[in-house]
Amino acid sequence: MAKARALDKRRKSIRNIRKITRTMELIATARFKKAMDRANAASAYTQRITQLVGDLARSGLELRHPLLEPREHTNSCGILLLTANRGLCGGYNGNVTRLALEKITETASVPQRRLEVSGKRGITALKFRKIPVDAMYTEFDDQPKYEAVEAIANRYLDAYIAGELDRLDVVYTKFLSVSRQVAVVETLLPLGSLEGADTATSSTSNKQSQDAQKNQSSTDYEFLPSAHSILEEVVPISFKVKLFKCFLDAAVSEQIARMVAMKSATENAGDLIKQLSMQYNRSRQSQITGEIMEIIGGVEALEK
Amino acid sequence: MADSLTCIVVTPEQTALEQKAEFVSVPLYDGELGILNGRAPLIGRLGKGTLRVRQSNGTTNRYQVDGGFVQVQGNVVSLITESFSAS
Repeated sequence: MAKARALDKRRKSIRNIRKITRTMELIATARFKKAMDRANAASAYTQRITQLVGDLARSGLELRHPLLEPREHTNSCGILLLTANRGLCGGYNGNVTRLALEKITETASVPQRRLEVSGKRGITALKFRKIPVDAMYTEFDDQPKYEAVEAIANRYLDAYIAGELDRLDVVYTKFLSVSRQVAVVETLLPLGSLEGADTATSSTSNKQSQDAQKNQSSTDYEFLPSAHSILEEVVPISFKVKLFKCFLDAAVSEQIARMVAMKSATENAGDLIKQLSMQYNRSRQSQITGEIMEIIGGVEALEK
Repeated sequence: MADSLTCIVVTPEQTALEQKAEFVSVPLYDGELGILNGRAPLIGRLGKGTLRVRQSNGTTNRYQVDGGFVQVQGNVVSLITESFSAS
């Protein structure tokens, strides 16, 4: 009986675990939907900024800005790692952390390096590897606030303009589609090129954007005060929006990763329960058979 | 006069306002700019101030904006701003 009872106990605890993982899956699904809606709502702003840059480029203005120019020597670089505050989301945290570690070894020769981490998971992972972290953020959850991101962005912009920072890389999980998210390293400073600036010249196959281009090319904008001063202001905003998008992408990807991890955990628990049930039934049956054999044996012994 | 203008305000987090209007007054960096139906295309820098949206039934809504851009194209007034609130 001992073995059967132990199996039954295990089966019960796995049932409990399955209940928990299923609930977590449902929560992650709900959070993912919310985060996704937010990301979609935010994309309107990005689109407008991109369109504005396109309009500026079409007006014949040369797109030049200190934030767009790469620096000749990288004396100081910044790395920003975006991880989750909580675990139980499969390889999500591991993937970005591994990529960040590669980047850290790569930039070991840079005299001044500043490493910033968002998310408790990344902080503990780096602490475990005894890598010093210059700044930590734990306030970003599944719905990052723009103000909070903006504060960080402003600090980077100030440092870059003052010459204290020559390069900024963000390590995060990029959201490509619901079924595909990859950990990437993206260089946000210098910005390189502005999104939308190329659309003015390159021909796009997309019919809709062609139509849009036709409409726009015929408009001759009046710039107040001047196209140049608008560009001055667009570039920092474009950087902030890009950084904000990184945070949003990371948040959405985290929820998807958790959803997938919890789904497979629930499925595995189900498989395990099936297997344990079978084992339990077998051992119970063999036990009963054994007991019957004993009784029959006893009866036979009495009859003689 | 009918509500021939559309006023759209987008912030980094969401589209905060989308409304039909007859007259829109936006705070530019150096003063207010009134926009009526048929305004020539324009891109301008916003300053800090009040955005007024008047509808043909006479109601005027006021909002606070701080920084950003305004784009006018074909009776659509779009404001791209980081700070927007009703007042």
